[in-house]
Amino acid sequence: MKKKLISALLIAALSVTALAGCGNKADKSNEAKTTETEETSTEGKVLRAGATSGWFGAETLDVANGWDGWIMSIYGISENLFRLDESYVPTPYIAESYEQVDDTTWKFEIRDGVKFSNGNDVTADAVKKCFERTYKTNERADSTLSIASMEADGQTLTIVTNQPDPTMLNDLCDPLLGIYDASKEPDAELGVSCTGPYVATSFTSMDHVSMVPNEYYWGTAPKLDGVELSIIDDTNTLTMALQNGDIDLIARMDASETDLFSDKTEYTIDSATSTRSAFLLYNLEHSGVSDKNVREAIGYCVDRESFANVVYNGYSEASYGVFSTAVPFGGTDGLTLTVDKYDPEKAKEILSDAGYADTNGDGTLDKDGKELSFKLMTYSYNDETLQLADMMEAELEKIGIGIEIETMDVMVETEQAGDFDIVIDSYAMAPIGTPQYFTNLVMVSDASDNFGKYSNPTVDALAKEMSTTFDTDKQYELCDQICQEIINDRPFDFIASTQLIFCYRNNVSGVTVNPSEYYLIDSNIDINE
Amino acid sequence: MLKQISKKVIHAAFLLLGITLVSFTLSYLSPGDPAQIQLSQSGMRVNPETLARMQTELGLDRPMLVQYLSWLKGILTGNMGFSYKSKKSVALLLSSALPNTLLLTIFSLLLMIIISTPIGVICAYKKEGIFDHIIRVLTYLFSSLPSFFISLVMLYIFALQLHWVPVLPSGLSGIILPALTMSLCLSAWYIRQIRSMILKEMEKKYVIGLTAKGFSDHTILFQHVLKNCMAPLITLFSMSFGSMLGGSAIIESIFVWNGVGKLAVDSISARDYPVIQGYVVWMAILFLLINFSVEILCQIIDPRIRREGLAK
Amino acid sequence: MSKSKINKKLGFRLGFLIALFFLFFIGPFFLPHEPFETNISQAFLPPSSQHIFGTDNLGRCIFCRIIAGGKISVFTSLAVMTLSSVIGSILGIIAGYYGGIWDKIISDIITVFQAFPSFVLAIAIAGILGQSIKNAIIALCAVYWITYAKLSRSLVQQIRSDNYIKAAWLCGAPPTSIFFKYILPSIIGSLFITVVLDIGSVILSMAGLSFLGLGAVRPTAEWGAVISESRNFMQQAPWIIGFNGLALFLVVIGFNLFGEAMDEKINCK
Repeated sequence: MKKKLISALLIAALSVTALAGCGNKADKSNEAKTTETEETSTEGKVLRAGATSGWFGAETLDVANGWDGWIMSIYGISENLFRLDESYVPTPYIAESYEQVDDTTWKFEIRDGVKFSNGNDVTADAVKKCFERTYKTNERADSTLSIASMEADGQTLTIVTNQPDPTMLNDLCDPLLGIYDASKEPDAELGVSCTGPYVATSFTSMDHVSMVPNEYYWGTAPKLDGVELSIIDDTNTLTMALQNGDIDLIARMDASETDLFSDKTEYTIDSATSTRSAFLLYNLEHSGVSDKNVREAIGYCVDRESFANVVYNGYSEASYGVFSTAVPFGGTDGLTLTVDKYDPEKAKEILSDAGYADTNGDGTLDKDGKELSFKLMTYSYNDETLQLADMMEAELEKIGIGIEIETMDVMVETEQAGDFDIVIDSYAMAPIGTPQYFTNLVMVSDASDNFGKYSNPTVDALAKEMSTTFDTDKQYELCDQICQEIINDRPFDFIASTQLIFCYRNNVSGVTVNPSEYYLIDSNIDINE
Repeated sequence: MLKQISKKVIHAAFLLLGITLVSFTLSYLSPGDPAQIQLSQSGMRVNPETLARMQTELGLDRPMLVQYLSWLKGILTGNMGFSYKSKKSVALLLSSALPNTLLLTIFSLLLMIIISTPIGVICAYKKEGIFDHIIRVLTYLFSSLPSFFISLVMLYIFALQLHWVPVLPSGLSGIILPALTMSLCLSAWYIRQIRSMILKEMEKKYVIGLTAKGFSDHTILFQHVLKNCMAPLITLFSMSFGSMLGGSAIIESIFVWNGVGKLAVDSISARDYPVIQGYVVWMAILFLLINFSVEILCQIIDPRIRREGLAK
Repeated sequence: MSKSKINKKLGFRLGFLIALFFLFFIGPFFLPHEPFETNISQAFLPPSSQHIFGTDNLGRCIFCRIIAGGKISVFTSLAVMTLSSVIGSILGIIAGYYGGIWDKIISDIITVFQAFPSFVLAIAIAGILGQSIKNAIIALCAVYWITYAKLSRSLVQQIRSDNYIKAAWLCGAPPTSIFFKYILPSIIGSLFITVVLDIGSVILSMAGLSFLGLGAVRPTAEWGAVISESRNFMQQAPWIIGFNGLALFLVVIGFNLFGEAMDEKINCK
């Protein structure tokens, strides 16, 4: 009896210590969170926002690391020499003015009185050192803006580019070129010191960041006392958090959730059409999709309007052209369209005219012994493209094209290996408001994201010219010509351009939705308790 | 006693070897070339030369047994490879997520014991009564519904409608809902098991003897029947640890609890094979350790089992 | 409980299962709407006379999809049960009958597989092999065969020393005849009951795998996968998750109750 008592007590003691031990370990990782909420609940106006890791997910707070600069710009920590306004026009920011000396030489006047969050002054030399470090650390820097040399003299920074760069000012808006103090080693947790209205006080990668106003900020004083940003990848949880009042704002909300916040007395839904588009990319080396008739037929089978109105709940625009109407070179004006509406009957006609028929009675059309049966690939977590895949599969089955849907978290390897027939992808096509970005990234032969191996010498020549033309009107004209080639050849099919949606409680004010997707937190955001 | 334990230790070591072999074979059979994955993730162009070079670098051209042995050596020194997705050490990822899963599992286990034991006892005691019938219906309900369905309903009701728990819990309060859900799902089965176990025990001859002697039902139940059910009960509870470790994957995903289950699910959709491999090995080892400790525990608690063991 | 009461219970529950079978086997031929055809203008309609269970995010009739999905959810689970029970039983019988080295090898394999928490092993196998129904079946078989191997092994060990087996062996009867004439009939009862009692668990596991994105490939009407896909519309269209969950519940409880009734009948003999 005694033995049993002792052993029972031992078990109890063990489990309690185990629990306490585990509790401590887990607590430590949650400690940051709990102390933060304790801290900030004693402070005044705190904005709590949530978004998925696609929008808030930074690995570190080092502008030069990977895509972290983009996130830090969203956070309101990092700023650039120029800033894009809501029409994608670059406006002076940390740079007060500029002068284009010649085709490859630019002079920038750095604004006086701008300081880093650690108190150091922002001089031309500081900017030069910052760029030098970023270019050394990040591979994308050179393809974003190709710099030959820089010279710093007081507040004047002279940059010489390797080739004439007509989109210099836009390029400088890319958050990768955010300005930070490169004279100090980045802090292990809090990264580099920048110039933005807020600074991080605690950061857990891919989880949470807490911020307070930057006491050295050069612009209008930030209105909030603190900002808490949480990464929530689960759409349900994110939505419920806002409904519950656990957060005040959702950045880049899924269109499907907008119905839940239709009560205008409590919530505001703010949106702006961006250049982000869902599009089809065909593998031109595979039989079937290599036939333009097949691509055209598929194009007629996509009900773009329903996709935009139902799947996106109206927060999207059907597209029959290339670029979105958010940019001046977008839309369909001046272009002669091939596919211009949802018309599955026309699709059937095109296919039978091209000699496709179901000769072996298996349900799919074929020609010369090859079946029209394709592998359609898309992201496993993008709800909208998944639904588009479902829609396409159902429609194409009806006209005799077989579709096998495959979903992946990361498509890049499979795309590079050419192991697909059609991909549904979603790109921000002109994040800095220029036509060159997408053209050079996807459309020209040998472009890094030209996974379908589209090769059109006319497009290549036009793109090259566009990259060196300084006249914006001429650029847009060349862009139109490129778009016409794309519409004629159909190696890509742009389905719909989406809107960037922010949803927040009515006590939040000063929110601007900038379609570039580069900005969220600025000194204007305020919360009235 | 010591001899028994040492025999068990050797047995366990042999099992561990088998576990690692199975896990390794799993990964070896996986589609997707680790060399190609690593190359494209680092942004390099994939062509036959770089592919061949990367394969040699990763040691993929060696025979399977050699690869297995070197992987095994790595594990013994704590190196389980690196995640394809985050480039962090698999061991690091698992060890930072494991405490959360253990916390959830232990908490759920405790909740389950607290919920199912008294209810099971009452059901056996008041057999066929109205309480028994109501509980019967509830247990059918909970054991026939998938855990993910129950989780979603719990989330909807408790977090959103009733506001009892915050949707974005900070610190430990986030454990309440997932632990409750997991324990409810398992309690359904356990209540029935406990009930039938007690009923079976009550049919034994010694109970008749005790009743004849004049002991009250109450005393018989608590001082004799339950004591004898202790050991099999503990074995039963330890078995549930296994299903909890496995079922944690779904529940952790839904409630966004950063344990190894959620890590495994995220890794699977990201085709992050090194993490999946590490996850399988760790969970098996953990499960083994727990079964091992429980067996020893049972031997300490129940002298009958000890005697049985010695007699073997 | 009286014999007639047990028989009535058994009859009822068997009838329920047969009705379900017909629903999922014959039903797909009589559906009022096409289960896979998208009709996006009809999206998110609540249950009505037109669509008794409502429509989903792409305007598809949920009732029709549940019937169509039943084929996958139920029959793949049956496939898993059949495969794992057959494979497991054969291995268990060999181990139990021949003993010796066969027993050692097979028992060791069983012990190693048992060391893995079952769902962990299932999601790891399915996750590594890739998303497909076939791989999900393989993954679940790898987990469920163990029960049958252990069960048949211990059953065979019990009867191996029975006199009539020894007599048959002495008379020179070939192993196959001993197996079919004597061993199989004695163990098949217990095996069958275990199968029926396990089906519910397999159906739920299969739904669980599909929920995690490891089983049925899209577009699919498999119930677990549909629940997973509809999570984002949980608040706007709760009927999607509700009815698919109900379908799972009815099928699982149907099998469980039937198994219990069978168990009672056999044990009350």
